[in-house]
Amino acid sequence: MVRDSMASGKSKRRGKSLAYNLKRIVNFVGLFARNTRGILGLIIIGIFVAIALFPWAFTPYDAVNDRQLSGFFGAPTWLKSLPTWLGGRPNLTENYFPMVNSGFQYSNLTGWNWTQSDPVHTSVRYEDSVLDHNGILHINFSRDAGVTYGNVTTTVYQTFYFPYSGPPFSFHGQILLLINGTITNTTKTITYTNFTNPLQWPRPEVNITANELDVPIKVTMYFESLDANASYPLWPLRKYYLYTPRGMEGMALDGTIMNSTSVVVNSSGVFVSTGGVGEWIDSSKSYEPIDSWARIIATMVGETHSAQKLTAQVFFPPEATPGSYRVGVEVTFVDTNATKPVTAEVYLDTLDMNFKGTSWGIMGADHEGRDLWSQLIYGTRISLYVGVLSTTLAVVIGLVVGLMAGYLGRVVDEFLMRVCDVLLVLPGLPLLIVLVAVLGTSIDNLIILLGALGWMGFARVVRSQVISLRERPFIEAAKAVGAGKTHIMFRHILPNVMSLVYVTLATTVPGNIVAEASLGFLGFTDPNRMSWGLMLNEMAANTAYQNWWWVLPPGLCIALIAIAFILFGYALDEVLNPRLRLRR
Amino acid sequence: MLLVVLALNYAIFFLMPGDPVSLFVNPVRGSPEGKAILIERLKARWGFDKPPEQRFLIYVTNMLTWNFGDSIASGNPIASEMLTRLWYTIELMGGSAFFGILIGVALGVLVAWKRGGKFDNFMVTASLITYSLPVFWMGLVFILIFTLNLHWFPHANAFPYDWGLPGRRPIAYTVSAAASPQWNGNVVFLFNPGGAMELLTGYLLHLVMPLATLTLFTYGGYLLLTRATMIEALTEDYIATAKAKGVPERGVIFKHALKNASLPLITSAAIHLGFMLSGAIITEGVFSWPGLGRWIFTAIGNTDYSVLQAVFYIVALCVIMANIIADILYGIIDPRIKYGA
Repeated sequence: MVRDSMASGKSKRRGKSLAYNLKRIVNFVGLFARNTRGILGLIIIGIFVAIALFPWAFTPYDAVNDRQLSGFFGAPTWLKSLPTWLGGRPNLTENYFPMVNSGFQYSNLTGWNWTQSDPVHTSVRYEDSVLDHNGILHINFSRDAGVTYGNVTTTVYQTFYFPYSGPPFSFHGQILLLINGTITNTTKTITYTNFTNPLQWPRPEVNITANELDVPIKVTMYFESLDANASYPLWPLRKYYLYTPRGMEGMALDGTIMNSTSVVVNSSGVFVSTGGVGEWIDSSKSYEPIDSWARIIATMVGETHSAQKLTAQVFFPPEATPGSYRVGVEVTFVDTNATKPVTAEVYLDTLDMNFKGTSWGIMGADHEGRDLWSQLIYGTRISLYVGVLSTTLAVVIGLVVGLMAGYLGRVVDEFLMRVCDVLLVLPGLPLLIVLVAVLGTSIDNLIILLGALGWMGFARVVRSQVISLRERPFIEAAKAVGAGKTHIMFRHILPNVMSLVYVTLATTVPGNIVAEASLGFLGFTDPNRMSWGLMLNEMAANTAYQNWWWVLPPGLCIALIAIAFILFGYALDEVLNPRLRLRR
Repeated sequence: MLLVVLALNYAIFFLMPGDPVSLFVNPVRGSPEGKAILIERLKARWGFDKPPEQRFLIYVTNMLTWNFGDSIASGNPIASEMLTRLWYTIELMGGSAFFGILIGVALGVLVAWKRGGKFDNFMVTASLITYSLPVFWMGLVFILIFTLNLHWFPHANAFPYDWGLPGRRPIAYTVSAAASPQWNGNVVFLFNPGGAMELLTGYLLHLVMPLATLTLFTYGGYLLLTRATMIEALTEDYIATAKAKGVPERGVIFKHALKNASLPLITSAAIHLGFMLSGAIITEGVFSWPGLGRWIFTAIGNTDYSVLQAVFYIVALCVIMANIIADILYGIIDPRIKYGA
């Protein structure tokens, strides 16, 4: 390279070529801007790229990991305000959190009401801290020796208004109690169910030394419809099926406390006896002994989506109208032992109740209560990423193969075109699926495979173009000057086929986006990265075809992005290959 | 060419991970010794214990003699299982190719004829949209509309499921010996119009939705291709000559333009038909269609190499054949092309 040694000349030439390129670019942009379809396509692509780059600006939720945001299979919220003849559903409910000051965050008893059957010996008041609990409601029963008062009941409750005209998808209640009082050490023989092996039969009998409360306490959490004048014991749920979501331990409290005649606390856990048979609750579960304290945490969930008559359906019949409801806890001190002065204390730390709605967000929820809108948003990323990268790969391979086959000719041409033929003869999608199954279902594998299997058509086009370019005079001139084959291929021929490259890039992306979606739909994709195909796969796996808000958007997005790329590609084609402009 | 495909076909599945033998060995039950014996026998059953070069030889002879061996997952001979599925795939793919090409070419000619008008713009946009929509999504939307909301068509299988039960399949005709005390060798053919009608409607009703989905997916490409080639042909000089000569417009379009524009159409139709046998994996999956595509899909799940090898081989064969046929058709349509001259 003689001319490269002339530094000043080179820089001059570069400046000149820069100005020339700039002019070309301005010229191109001017031509392109006149093409309204191309601009439309570019705008749509731009919107999708923005969504793909900054998904967090469009949704606060994670597409895969934010589960149980609402009820499962939730419908879009706006369907509620749509007229019925348009498919509106006035009975939809939203997530609802009616309890005020449920964990005593206000440091007082705002929002709470209570009734006492014996106001002389029981008291209800607010305490700032007990053990490690901050903010707690304290129900105390104490009396002197000699007299017993039988069942002494105190009820603490909140009343709220349920504004929706349909049943919620589910309700979720939580109660956290601490129990304390005067105790007597006794050695008892008890039959118990060990919670680590609840199926053990006959149930083992053991002697234990237990601290037994002098005044046994019954606790019932209840839920009451004021309009229907009906009350339902919520916890423990005896009549109704108790739904246990995975990962929520301590749910199996069914039927333990309500009929308890005694709560026993010792080092190995809490013993709750109901009539003759009792149950040990493992201390690692939600009953924790702390000195003589018993800490009880219970959660309960009722659902409406199953075919069975489940709790939420019983509480909220489908024809439910908006109404007042009451959630409360009833504490009964069973005072029968007159021998000594006794006290019994129940601390209520949390009594919460919230409702998961049958509707959620802009696009509803999936089968795990995840936000479909954010799945659509994050799916944009995968589609664009796979579509653009795999197309680039395919075009680069096709370009190199086409250049080599076209310019070098002979053996190279023959060999490359036969490879091309073989790959064209194999069935594309089945081969792709097999290879994805072989190499693993990661996004990167998919990109490489789509690139490696998609270059043949373009290579043929480039080859035919190169063959015609090869005979042009300027190539002859370059040869005469002594330019090498690589130099001619990449410096002289390549710029002349670049317009083809841009157009092919734009028009091949949709096919690869659809291919990615198809593989996702068939399940051959990374399950931890939500894509549009995977959304539809999960929809089909849960047979939610009826949920059109789940079915339609991914496909429409694929179509929109595909058409945007096609419009953009055609516009490029018209601008870069002006021969076509006359034709249309 | 065919041999290269054969070798590639073998290599892909030779490298495919996953052990089909493990499908048949219960990981929980049974003694290790018993399992070892079972595995050995299973390997001998399909010849996995032989060295690779010997397996390759067996594979090549199997393919070339059209005796594809036995399916690993089901144990049945592949050739017979392929035949039962072949019909459904041809029914679906052939039908959609037929309608898709017909509609696409007809509309393409029409659009090219009236190019630049509103109809042209509408059809080009519509076909671009249907062409770029994912086919499985179209199927899902069809199910949503026509099965779940309108209850017009069933959405799964190629015939009502209960036809698979004994005695449930409608009978179109019976062939029996004549019911006379002295049988004189006559055979009575009894046609049952009710049963035949039921059979026909049963099959057709199940065919409608997958066929419509695939046709909707197919026609767009042909429309665009026909339009492009037709417009190119219509701007040629000989069309102007024909028009000047006073040939009616219909004749110009069909005799002069379409005949010359049909070469690329034939290529793409040939490739389309060649790939017909690979079935539409996705459409067949959406509609639970018992064709070859679904077979491929389940075979991938079962690591059933022998089925996949056989299907890939047949598909490659069909594509090669289709290309040859297209070349021959070229020669018939375009007399300028002469082979072997």
